[in-house]
Amino acid sequence: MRSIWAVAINTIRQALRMKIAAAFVILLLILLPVMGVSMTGDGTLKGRLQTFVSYGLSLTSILLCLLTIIVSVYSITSDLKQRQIYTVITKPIRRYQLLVGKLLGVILLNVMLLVLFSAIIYSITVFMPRFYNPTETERAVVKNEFYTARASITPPELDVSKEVKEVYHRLKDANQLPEDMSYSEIISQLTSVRKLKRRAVSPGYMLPLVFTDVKPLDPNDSLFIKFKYDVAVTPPDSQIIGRWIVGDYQYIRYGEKIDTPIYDEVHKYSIRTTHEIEVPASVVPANGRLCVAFVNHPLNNTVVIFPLEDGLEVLYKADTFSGNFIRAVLLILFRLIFLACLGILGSSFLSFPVAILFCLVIFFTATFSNFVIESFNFLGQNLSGVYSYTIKPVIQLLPQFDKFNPTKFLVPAQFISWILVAKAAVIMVFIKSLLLLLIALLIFSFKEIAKIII
Amino acid sequence: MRLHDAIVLFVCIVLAVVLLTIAGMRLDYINSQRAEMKLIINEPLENAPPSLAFATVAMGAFRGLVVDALWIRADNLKEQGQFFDARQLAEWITILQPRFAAVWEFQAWNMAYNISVAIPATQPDQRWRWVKNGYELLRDQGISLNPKSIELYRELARIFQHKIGGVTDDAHKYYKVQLALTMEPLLGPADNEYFEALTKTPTKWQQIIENKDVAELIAALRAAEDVFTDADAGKFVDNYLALRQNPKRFKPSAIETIDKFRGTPALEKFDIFAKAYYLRNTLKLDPVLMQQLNKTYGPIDFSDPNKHLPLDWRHPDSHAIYWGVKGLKEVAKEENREISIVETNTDRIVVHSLQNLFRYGKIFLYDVPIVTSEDSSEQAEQRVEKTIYLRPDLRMFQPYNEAMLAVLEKHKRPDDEGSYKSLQDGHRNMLKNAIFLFYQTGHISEAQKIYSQLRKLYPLEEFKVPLAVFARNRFREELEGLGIFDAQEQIVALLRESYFRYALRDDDAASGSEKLAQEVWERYQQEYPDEYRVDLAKLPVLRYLALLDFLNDEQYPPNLRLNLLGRIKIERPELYREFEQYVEQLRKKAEMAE
Repeated sequence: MRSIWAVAINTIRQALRMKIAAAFVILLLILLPVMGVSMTGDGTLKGRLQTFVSYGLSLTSILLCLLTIIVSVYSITSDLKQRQIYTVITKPIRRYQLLVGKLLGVILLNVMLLVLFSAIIYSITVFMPRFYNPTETERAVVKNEFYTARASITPPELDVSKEVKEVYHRLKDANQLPEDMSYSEIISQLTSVRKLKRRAVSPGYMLPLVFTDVKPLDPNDSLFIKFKYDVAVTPPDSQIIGRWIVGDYQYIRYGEKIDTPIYDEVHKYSIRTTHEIEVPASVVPANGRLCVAFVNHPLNNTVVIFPLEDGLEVLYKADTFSGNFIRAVLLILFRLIFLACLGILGSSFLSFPVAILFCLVIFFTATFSNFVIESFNFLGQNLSGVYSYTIKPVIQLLPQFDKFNPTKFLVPAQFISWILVAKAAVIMVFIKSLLLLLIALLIFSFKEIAKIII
Repeated sequence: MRLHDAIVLFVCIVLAVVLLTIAGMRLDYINSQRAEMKLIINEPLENAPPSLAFATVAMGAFRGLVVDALWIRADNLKEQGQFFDARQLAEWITILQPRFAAVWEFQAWNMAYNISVAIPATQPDQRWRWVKNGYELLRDQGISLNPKSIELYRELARIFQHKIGGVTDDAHKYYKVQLALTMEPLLGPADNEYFEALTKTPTKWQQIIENKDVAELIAALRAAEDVFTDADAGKFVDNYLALRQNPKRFKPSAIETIDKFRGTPALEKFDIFAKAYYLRNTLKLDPVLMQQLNKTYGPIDFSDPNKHLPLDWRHPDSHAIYWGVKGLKEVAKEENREISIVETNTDRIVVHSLQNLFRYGKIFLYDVPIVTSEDSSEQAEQRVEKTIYLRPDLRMFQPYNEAMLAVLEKHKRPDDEGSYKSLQDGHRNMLKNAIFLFYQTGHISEAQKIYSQLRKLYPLEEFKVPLAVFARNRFREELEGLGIFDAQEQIVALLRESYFRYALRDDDAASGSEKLAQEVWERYQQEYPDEYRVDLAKLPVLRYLALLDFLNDEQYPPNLRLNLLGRIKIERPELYREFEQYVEQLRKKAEMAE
């Protein structure tokens, strides 16, 4: 353990002596306060805060990721190239201890820098309202929609398998199955259609959805219904009039007498854009079973559909902004740990420039993995097939950084649960990073140190 | 070198040469496509600020990647309903692609149309902010960097005409009020002499301060109030205009300075200069072009048909005309051009705006007192909000007609029959509507003139009848299919409309609506047998019902409704007497029922 610790300390010292590390640190120290002052977003206080947090955290994350890659690769390749490793390898230190020490050093450096810069971002975020003299309305909006952590509950998963099978057999018997589609494709399409049908509301009708386990921290607070309308026929003004009834399921469904109030308002919102309605948290009954009912006003004259993925969710305050921020920073740290292990792996068998290139390709692919995978669907069928069986599985093996992107949560004040953090830790650190480390250890153990690598 | 390595090297070199050759062969085609789509950025940006020039050059080949990343982010955020970054992203994208007109057009449209409607209509001020962001992006940046792109002028004109001037947005009245309030302080008496003065005033700050008296005024203001002390030209003008509109926000010494110079040529000169400066530099409206448009498209003075009055620059369609015409003037510099669909659509926007000014070009801004305190025990706080009503302006028909005829002449080409025919259809329908409107409002000679023109240009069977018959046929078409109950509703609605216009002192239009109501009533008296006539009440009763409707209609401010009663009592005592008589009868009936 002492050897590992000694290597780690030396790695940190080596990194701090690197000019590029100093450049990145100075750049962030200058840019973060400048961004805090210059970023205006849409001009409102909430817009400023969202823009600053989004760009501030993203910039910090990208620069630290790049620094991690460079430091982790350089620390080993420079030792190999300059033959300094001979003086270390000949000591009573195992090869795995050397690698683990290097990794530990990089991780500790990341922790120090991450703590420093996240503290700067947090301070600027918390103190920003003092510099802009916002109105009371802006303060209230920011308190409810930014300086908070809102848990999201979606409607329960719809089970339409029985219906789908019936429809499939009916089509099969009538010889109406599409010939160019496989069984799984047909079932998938039928399932999607059936599920959307369950989320569609005709004019004059009501769609009640039940959300279980809704537990707001404070009944005097608010909760938010986040939704997006899609329509069969676009109205002339692209807006939908909807009556929203939120409260105890027993009252809404059966008209029974209840203790909690009911929220019942009519709103008009545009289609195909996400909106939020604020509802008092006191409407949530004691058993946590909240019913959200939407009535499609007859004036709309079109069927309203709530998309399956992001059509409807209930948001309620589950934690503070500070707690959420800490968890967001942990997500960044996991990313850095993965990249550190990747850098160690690359440097174990590649030269410096090749290892950097290798790591950067993996890093950018992991960052845009969702976009890349979605874009395959828009290629021609043959090309799409080729990519789906070759590149797609490889991309799916990589950690999907955009899925665990902290700004995706902090900007709309979405709660990052400890379960999510644990999931990210298990996937990125305990599985993928450990795997990379084991491979690196294996390669390095059998590596011919004195061999020249081009 | 080993044989294996040599073979690999040779194959790589051959492959590289082949691929490079193929790429080179495609280059000419790609460059011609880029030229066609106006994507060439070889020419340096004209008059671009250094930061912009740096941004477009410094990134080199990575500019395309950065732009793609920004577009992806903008689209993702839009899907998620997050608009906090939309304006910033639009600015960056347009900085990196300043010569790509479609980018400016898209970003402006996105802000003005998509983002604004994502905000609930209960926050019209927030919606207006995004509509403003959209058109300011085009007006202040897009057009100045792409002065020859007619697409941008067209889009800007369209935002004014459709988004602000139209009725599809729930908050359209708010937009109209805001635009009117912005323009009103700058228009002075809004007569031809005023616009003449605006064109003749110096255009630069250095020129105006050469006048000793004006320099004295400026020095006095600088000494009187801190905000004037170190202000540059732009800030000085802004603060001066704010001082003139809202003196209470400034120190008493500044107000005293203005009072001291009141009535002097120095203040008058500077006042005109400040307004022209603001129009030119902030709103990007050139007074010279404004005056030209007044002379070409301004409403005619009925007492002297050769004279054009100024356009009402509070109206969004006036701005649509300005930007549309400006774009058309730019493309017209290229004489041997082929008329593109964009140019045709810009022509359409200009004539449609003129049509809109005819249909509802008269603006009535009305103060509405709003009680803000909810606690009735406290002294209620009152503030005044503005509401806007738009009504027809018959004086705009001639400018519209002349402009339309010019556009028809321009598009009279064998290769453009489709556009020509659709323009003709629009013109013909407009003439028919105009004839009917002039006829109903009592301008028979004007209606006859237009009718003669209609017959000459479009010799169709339906126009081979006298004017009175044409008007009656047209009237019958409007009423066709209406049952007796619908007729009662229509009469009451027309009467209510006439009372509303009477309350606004738009007497011509009020008289027209009342006359039309009477004609509908008389028509049904003639057409239907006695047993049905019982269901159609007498006209005085319908007048009473319409008046009650109007007085009980919450959409009209209470003081507007009360003003009407007062006016009726003084100016239409016979109507008031009829009203009184039925009130008395109804009251007696009610007492008997009890």
